Amino acid sequence: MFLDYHAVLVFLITGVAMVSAPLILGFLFRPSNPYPEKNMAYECAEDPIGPAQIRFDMRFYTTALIFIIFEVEIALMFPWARVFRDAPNQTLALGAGLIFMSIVFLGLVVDWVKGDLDWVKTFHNKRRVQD
Amino acid sequence: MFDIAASLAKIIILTHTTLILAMYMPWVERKVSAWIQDRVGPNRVGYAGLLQPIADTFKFIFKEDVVPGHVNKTLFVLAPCFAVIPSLFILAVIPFGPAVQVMGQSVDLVIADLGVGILFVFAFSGLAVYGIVFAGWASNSKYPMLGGVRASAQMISYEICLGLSVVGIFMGAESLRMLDIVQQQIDGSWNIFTQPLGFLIFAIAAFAETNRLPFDLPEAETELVAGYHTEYSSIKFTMFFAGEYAAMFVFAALVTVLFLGGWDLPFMDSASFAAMGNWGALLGFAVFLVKSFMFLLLYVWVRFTLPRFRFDQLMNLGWKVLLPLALVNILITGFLNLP
Repeated sequence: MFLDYHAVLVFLITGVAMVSAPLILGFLFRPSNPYPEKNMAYECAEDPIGPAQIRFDMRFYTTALIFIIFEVEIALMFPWARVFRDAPNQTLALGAGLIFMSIVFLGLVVDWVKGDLDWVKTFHNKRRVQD
Repeated sequence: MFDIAASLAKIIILTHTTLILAMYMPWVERKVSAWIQDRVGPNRVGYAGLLQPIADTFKFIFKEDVVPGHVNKTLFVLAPCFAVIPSLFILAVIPFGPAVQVMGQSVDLVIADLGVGILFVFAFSGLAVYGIVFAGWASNSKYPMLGGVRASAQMISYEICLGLSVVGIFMGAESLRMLDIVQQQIDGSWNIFTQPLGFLIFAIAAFAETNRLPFDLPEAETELVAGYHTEYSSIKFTMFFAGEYAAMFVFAALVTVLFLGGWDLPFMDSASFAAMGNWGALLGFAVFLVKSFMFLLLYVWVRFTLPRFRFDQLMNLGWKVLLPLALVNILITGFLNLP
């Protein structure tokens, strides 16, 4: 058991070494000739206007929230699936899983009906909000 | 001592296989795309352009690395590392052949035979999002920012489908260990036949997780220049590139292990592999590589066949089609497994 994770640790060190080796190699050999134009943000030769690290759309936040809920569901589904065949009463086990899945799925359906999953809000919905 | 030497040898074999594949996949992709589009493809450096990847690598190392003045330096350097390391780590739990006999001891061809196998995979594939988010945010420029935000939304959406699509496999294999899953497929039938819906969802989600066409919105060239790695150049750009191809190989290997029976051949079982001794292990490794390579070719084929999705189509497909389908798949598997 311990040795398995020991192998992961060795792998970690190898991985970090393999990533840093080309970085160091490049650092040793490459030329460096920065000038103001080269250091500007790339916007297809236009001068950048305003900062780039702005607040972005709320919809990404909603997506992240739904993601967290479903990720927790996955974490709970894995052990359930693992012991499913060993369960003394499999019908009961399936029923329990069904109830759990439908509770989480209900949350998704609520979001779906409310339109939080629609990336493009329709004109119809917008007008209803304005009314 | 023997165990440490054995695991080091396995690490060296697997990481080198992955890196060589990641290096030569662009060449394969260019050749196949040239063939699809009736062109010649790379043919200048070496025979049939075979030395092209090596020439490219040297060129990338010797090119100037432009770090623009407006970036967040720490995150800017950290981002390419985060793009490569998670996909390399997933390799630790992927079994790549039947056991070999070395000095009278049996060695499983998997670097770390963890009981939580597949959970480890999802833990590290979740970390891969950080590389792209760091790159998008630290670049402090508009195209990378848009690409990074899009990529994070896409990757977390499809991670759900990825996770739920494999639940059906555990109900059959009764284990999260990769070796058990392969053994179950060798004894029974491949999971692609027992879990066709799960395979379809996993394959689609794998395309989205690796940011490949038709889901390559984070780096949609026509609208975002190069997406999250617009500001990157030289070796750091190469690392994003290598990270993408390494992730492609990792997902191909995962599909092979989870759905295509690992190193299993239809007319062979564990005993016939064991009867061939270490040649059997070599044959198994070759079969594993060929199956993974087939899936890699599918990536290329799809890339030059399908156009890019729109972002709302992508989110709709993930949340409104694949996610309910994955839940239905779990239910069907549950009912079929009832005694």
